[in-house]
Amino acid sequence: MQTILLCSDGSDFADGIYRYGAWFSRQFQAQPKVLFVTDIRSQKVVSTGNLSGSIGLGASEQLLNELVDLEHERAKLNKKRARLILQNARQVLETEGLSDIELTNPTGFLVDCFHDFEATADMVVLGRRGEAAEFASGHLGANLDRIVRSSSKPCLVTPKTFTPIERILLAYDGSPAGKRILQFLIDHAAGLKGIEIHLLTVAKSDGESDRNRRLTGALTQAESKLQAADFTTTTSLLTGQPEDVITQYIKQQNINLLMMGAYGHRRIRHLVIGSTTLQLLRSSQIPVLLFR
Amino acid sequence: MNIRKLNARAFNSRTLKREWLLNPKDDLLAGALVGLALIPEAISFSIIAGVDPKVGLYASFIIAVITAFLGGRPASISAATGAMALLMVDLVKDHGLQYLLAATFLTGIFQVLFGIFKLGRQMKFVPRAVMIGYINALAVLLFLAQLPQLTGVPYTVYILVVLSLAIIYILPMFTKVVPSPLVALAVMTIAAISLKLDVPTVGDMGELPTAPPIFALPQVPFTLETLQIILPYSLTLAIVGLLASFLTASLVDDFTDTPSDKNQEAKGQGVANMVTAFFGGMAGCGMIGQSVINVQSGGRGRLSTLSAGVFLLVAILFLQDWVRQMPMAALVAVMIMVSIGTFRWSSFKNIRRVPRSEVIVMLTTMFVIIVTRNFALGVATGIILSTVFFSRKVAKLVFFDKTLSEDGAHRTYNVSGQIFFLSRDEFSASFNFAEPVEQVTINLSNAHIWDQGAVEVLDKTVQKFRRQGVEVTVVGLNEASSTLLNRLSTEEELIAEGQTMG
Repeated sequence: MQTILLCSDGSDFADGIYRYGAWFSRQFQAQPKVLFVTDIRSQKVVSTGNLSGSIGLGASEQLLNELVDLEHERAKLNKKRARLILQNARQVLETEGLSDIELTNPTGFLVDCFHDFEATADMVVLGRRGEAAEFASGHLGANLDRIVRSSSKPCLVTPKTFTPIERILLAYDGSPAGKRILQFLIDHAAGLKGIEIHLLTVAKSDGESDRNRRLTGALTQAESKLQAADFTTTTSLLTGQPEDVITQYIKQQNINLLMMGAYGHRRIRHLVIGSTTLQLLRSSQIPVLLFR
Repeated sequence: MNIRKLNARAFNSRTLKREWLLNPKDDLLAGALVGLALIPEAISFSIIAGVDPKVGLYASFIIAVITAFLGGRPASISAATGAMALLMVDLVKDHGLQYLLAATFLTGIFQVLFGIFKLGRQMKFVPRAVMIGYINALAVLLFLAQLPQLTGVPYTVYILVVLSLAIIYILPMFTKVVPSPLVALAVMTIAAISLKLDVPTVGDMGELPTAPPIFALPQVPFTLETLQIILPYSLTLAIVGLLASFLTASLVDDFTDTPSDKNQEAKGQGVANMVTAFFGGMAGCGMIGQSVINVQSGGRGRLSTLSAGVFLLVAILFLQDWVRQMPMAALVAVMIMVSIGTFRWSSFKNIRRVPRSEVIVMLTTMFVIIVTRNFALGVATGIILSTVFFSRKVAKLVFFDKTLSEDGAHRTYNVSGQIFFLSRDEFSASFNFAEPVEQVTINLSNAHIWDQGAVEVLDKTVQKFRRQGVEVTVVGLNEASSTLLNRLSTEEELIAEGQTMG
């Protein structure tokens, strides 16, 4: 892994983004790259507050000057804000012991610029919610779904506060995304030394059905692969509603990071983040690393 | 694959969202304001064109709604306009409304073709001075078009006009929350009704719409003769309409610091005009004044244009009884405001600072349009004039640097600049043919030979030197120049020179 892209927006979540970004950068010896996009919308829609509907001599020149002045002020403030946010990012990352940091501040729309930056990164870190949604704690940010949906890189969705990662839960279902997570872990085994991996598969029903046999088989296979890569693993096959079981497991075992596929098994899986994934993103207080 | 397709669609929906729903509240508000402001203008322009007010009102509604969806410039306002109305006067007078509708349809076709053939890019050939002359002429003509409403009328009309103007210009000094032109219209209408003033009203000028527009084909014979009548009008309308629309678009581009798609704008205008013709509306185009008002009031997206059109129709259908009794004097006052707002005052304020040739171009464009009432003719004159001025300036930028060898027998001319038909006189005047030298070198490394005229003058120069018994060599031709020389020169030595160079 070479680059980790930290998508910051200067909100309460930024600190979590930096700390987790720093943790992964240190573990994987990657360069953190902080991206703050100055939203062009806030700049472009300035209001003159003039509804008089009357136009006098030289009306268009006057209006143009007025708009230029307004946007000038707004843009200046935005630039200053961007500078402060990125400065703060650098500070946090430096206190975390990183030195090779890249800061970028394009102007536009995050969802549009994202692809250019994502293409050169190996992992993306973003906050669960952004500046637009600081209150309701059960909600997810407006950009989150779109970014996770369009990104081909692993996306780490972080909460506000950082807890060192000691135990990772891998919600494994034998799907291609699940296999990719396994591969990711094996590839980065050196960076994750000493971290416990909990492998969990949730079956919908008890008993000796075909499906359950297949799941058990996949699970043992995964376990042996991880053990071959020198991981300490705990494996369990539980029954119930996946989101409930996983949430409970996280609490009981004091898990610090959840890894899972971004999409469910439904036909429309390319359209939306899987419903289980969404539920977990909403309810869990730990970071979630999503794979597609 | 699946995802890729989805992303493309998601991008489109994003553009859509950005152009439509960026600031819906302000867009709706600005649109409503513009829609109401369009009513008096549409009525005035109908009166200028010599048709019933409903023709302009229907046109404004349809053009605004269609350009909201298809136009290339979000937040610019298109509707029935003065520039177009002034061009239709004779057609309406001689042949009637139905021919105007047919001409409107043909105008739309021309504009769509312009859009398809990407003529929007050619707008760069219209110099700024011509554009300003065009705008100023439009302002003057709008003002002049109000004069018939002010001649041979009772003196109360003048009082109403002055009072309306006072409201329009003084009210914004106290509050910018209410649109002062609309306040003026409302106050004057109420005053005229309650005081039972005997002044001309909008109702006297013709029929107002009582229902939404209905589809109908223009009632004209589909013959070659009809085409002959409407073709010249349509072509002028198409060009002038696009000129005004592009002008409006680039103005809004400047205001909002965002780009627009000129070819899409041409197509949008074209479709709007084609559809308007079937609903009994006159041709229209982008409106500078209303677009300024729209942006000034906070309109930025397509929603503002759409809501302007919709509000216009709803308002006119609900308010028609009031609009009918609206005194023409108040309407005239609004139009005077529009013409004053359209006029580029700075073009006269800075007249001493602007290069003289550009002032001449601007004034000529303005003058030709005002006298002939033909915008296309004025703009064409302006473009030709600026081309002439420009080429004359370039022709003057030819520099000669002469050096004489120590023994005084060899003269070298170093020429730099553009040599073309206009530079002939300057070119030949710069050589001293009578000088007693044996050899002359003409160094053209920093010059470019552009056309037959330039080759001819070079030929003549060489000939003249040879008649004086001087050996001439031409050096340093660039490749394009020497190719041209090869093809056109009659002087053998020059050809040889060109070949060695090439």
